[in-house]
Amino acid sequence: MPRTSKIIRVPKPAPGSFNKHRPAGSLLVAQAVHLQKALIKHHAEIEVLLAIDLKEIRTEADVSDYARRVTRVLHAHHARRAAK
Amino acid sequence: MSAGLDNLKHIVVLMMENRSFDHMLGDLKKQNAAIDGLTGNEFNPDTAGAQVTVSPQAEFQGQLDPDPDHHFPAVDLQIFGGQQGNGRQANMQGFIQSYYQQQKNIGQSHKIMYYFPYTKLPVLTGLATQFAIFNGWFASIPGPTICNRAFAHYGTSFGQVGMDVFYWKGPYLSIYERVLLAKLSAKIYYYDGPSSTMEIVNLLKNQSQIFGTFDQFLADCKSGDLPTYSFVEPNYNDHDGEGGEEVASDQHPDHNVQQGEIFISQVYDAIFDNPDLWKSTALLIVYDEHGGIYDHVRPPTCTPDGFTASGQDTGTGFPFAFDRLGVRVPAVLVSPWVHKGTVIPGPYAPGGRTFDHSSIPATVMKFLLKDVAAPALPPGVAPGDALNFLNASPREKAADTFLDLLTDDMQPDNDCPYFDFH
Repeated sequence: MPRTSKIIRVPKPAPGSFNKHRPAGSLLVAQAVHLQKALIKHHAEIEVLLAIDLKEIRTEADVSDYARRVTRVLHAHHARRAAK
Repeated sequence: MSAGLDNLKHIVVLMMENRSFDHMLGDLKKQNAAIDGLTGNEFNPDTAGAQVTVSPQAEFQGQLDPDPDHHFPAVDLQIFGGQQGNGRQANMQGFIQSYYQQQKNIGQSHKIMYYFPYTKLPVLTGLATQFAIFNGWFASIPGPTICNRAFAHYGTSFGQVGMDVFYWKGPYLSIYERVLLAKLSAKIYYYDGPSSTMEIVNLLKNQSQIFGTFDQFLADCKSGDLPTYSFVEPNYNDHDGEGGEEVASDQHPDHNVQQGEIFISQVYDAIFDNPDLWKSTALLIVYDEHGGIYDHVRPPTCTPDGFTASGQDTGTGFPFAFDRLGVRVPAVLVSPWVHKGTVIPGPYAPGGRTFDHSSIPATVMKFLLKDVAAPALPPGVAPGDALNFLNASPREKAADTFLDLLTDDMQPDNDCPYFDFH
């Protein structure tokens, strides 16, 4: 129960307000462009990591640097899933 | 320091989309003459030479289609009425001219002067009259969404006046990064995956740990785990969700304004529902820019930002030095520590004050990071006072802050509204 008796009813939108086929406005188009650019950048980062020859990783410093970079990518995925 | 500030632990900012002050709140002048809204006599000329007055005929949806132009050249026309050159004065006379250019339809162009009767927006007007309403909160730039939202996140748009997301140049850090450096918590809550976020710059900078969904916001409010600073984004598009149809709630024309009312009430109710959170949280509801819709108050000048946009970038042929603000937008501060019916006078009133979106990071810095011990310095940042230390932009340093509105007196719960949107 709310701690107040001052209840204000908020009307719902009329049926038919939902229209997922409405043409996307400039803001949403810009958002899609930006998301794709972000994905390209992210993809490029993963490609760089996949291209690293593990035979070149010899020292603990090499491992820690590699682990830090990979973890940053993987943790980002994990954090997004956990947030759902 | 006031009891309200003593209790303050959280700041929540809800940023909606593309509606002007007069369009949403202008009718409140009927209720309180101190609110700088509409008398009903304000007008713009149409392209046939008629004077068209403002009219309380705004509808929730289906009226502002096509979306009124709100890019830099259009807003320049709206503010200056087509004047060019040095010495021109803002007159707010070009809104109908601007909208006419999109369809060459005189009847449609008049709709840019429509506003909502306050009874049609019980949530926004209810909160505005119960808590605090700003007569002088302006968009940071006379331009579109992305550059304006940048001011809320960074205190600058790094010279951008358009929709390019790659505006970040440094050295200024986002307010989220600064809060994290201070060992506090910050989050951007976007609505859901299909709506995503407009703050992609932070995604690009691998700041995914600062993102959460709206469901998580509701859960965090309930559990008391809300971060020190939260920025909430509405649903930006109509899409199928797990629970059925998800209607866009950002109020961007031509999205449904009532769905935005419901969203605002969800955010408010979630905070109000937790008594400890309620007394320790300040909620700012603000719109990113006016969306091309009429407002009668002339945007004032402001501290230059240290950047200049070229005449090519502005699209007007004239450079812009970020030395004046965009069109006025709705802004409401909600807290039980705000006196009921507070009206903060605008820039042209005696003792008036001017706010823009750089007031948001400035407020977070001043009121939440004030007592924080020196955090680890990011590389290349020289030590200095608190703002310099965390490298605030010139606009942010000059920005007015708003939590001085929190008082020693707490409004009783039973006098505060609760919204039933089910």
